[in-house]
Order: sequence, then structure tokens, then C-alpha cells
Amino acid sequence: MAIIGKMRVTQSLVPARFLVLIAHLVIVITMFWSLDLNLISCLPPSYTTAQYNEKQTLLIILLSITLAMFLIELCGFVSGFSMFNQSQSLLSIAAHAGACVSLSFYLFDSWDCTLYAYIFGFCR
Amino acid sequence: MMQQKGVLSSVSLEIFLYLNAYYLALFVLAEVLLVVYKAEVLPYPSNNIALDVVLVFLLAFIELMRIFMGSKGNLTEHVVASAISLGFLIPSVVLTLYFLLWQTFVLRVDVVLCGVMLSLHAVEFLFLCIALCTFPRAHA
Repeated sequence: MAIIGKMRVTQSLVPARFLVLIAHLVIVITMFWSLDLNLISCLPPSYTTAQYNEKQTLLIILLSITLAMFLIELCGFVSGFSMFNQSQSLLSIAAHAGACVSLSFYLFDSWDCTLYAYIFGFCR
Repeated sequence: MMQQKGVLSSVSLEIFLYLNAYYLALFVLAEVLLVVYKAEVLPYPSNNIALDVVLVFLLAFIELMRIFMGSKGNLTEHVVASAISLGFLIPSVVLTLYFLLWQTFVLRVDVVLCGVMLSLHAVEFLFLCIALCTFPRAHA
């Protein structure tokens, strides 16, 4: 009985992790695409081009690193290296779910874009 | 004389079909919620709402048939079932392209969601073709 229960939990970890990963990926790509909309919210009301460029470079670098890490994680997941590693799956689900929720707040409420650095730090 | 060929079913194809079934649920949920969002925010003609919602469910139905046939065909190393699954891939790609290109309002989220869907389709097409090439050897 316990073995069956454990198998069921393990089986549901795989799709849960996949869905959370994909949801996070969709949010990150959308963020990358609509970068300039969120950029304005983290600049002072009258900003210079230099300030704008600085923030833009920061966000582009962070988002690119995120996408690269996504590539690594998706490859590891789909190829089966980390698919049945339960503790790694749980950690991944928790981090990506946290990132999904905080990033959707970030997008909808247009948070300050330096906060993305903190989200990135905590969820990676 | 029959020779022992071992298991010809593709594990990769099975993994992608399994994950695609879950992604399909996410996709349908997201598209229906997006139609609600667009109807609230944008001037959405009511005829088009009906068309889009019907096409979402049509896509879900075709995809479910495709995943079911593909999975069964793969596990039983059955050529015809796998070929039917390959045939169902065409309408489901066309319907995904509808949501990517010809929908009433295409948001950026739509593009990303359809892009993920199409990349899953591409990977499955590849593995399904490989599987279809290897299955006839089981009975040769």
C-alpha cells in the first residue's frame, strides 16, 4: 500500500514539475518580449537615456541567463537525468512555482525592475 | 525464422506524448481564460468568441485522439495506429497555427503558448517518424 502511494506521488511529481517549468518559461519569454513596458516603472519620472540603457542592459543580461538555465534544466528533465530524482523535483517545483507567482505579480502590478534580480536570486 | 528484435517502442516518444497531454490541459485552460480576458478588455465580436472557443475544444479533441493513438501505437508497435496519429498531427498543427496567426486577437502570451505547442509537435513528429521506420522490422 505504502509503495503504491509512493509511486503515485512520484508519478504526479513529473507532470507537476513539467507544468510549473513551462508556465515559468512562458512568463519569462513574455517578460523578455514586453521589456520596455516594465522598464519604465523602475525609472524615475524624468529619466535620462543613460539610466534607461543601464536598466535595460541589466534586465536583458538577467533574462538571458534565465533562458540559458531553462535550456539546461529542460534538457536535463526531458533526457531523464533529473526526471525521477524526487528531492531535486520538489526543490525545482517549489522554486519555479514561487517564481511564477511572484513574476505574475511583477508583470501585473509593474513592480520595480530591480526586484527581478531578487526573484532571480531566490528562485534559481 | 523469427528473430528476437527486442523492444522497438520509443521511450522518448512516450515521454513527449505524456508531457504533451499535460501541456494540452494547460493550453486549453489558458486559451479559454484568454478568450474571457479579451472579451472583457477588447471589443470582441460575439461570433468570433464562439468560433474561438469551439476551435479550442476541437483542438483539444484532436490532440487527445492523436496522443491516445500515438501512445497505444507506440506501446504495441502497431504501424497503422502510429500512422493515424501522424495523420492527426496535420489538423492539430493547422489549428495551432490558427491560434498563432489567424485568431481575432493574438496576444504575446498566445504566441509563446503556441510556440511551445508547435515545438512539442515538431519533436513528436521526429520521434514518430523514427518509430514508424523501425516498427515494420518487428514483423519482417
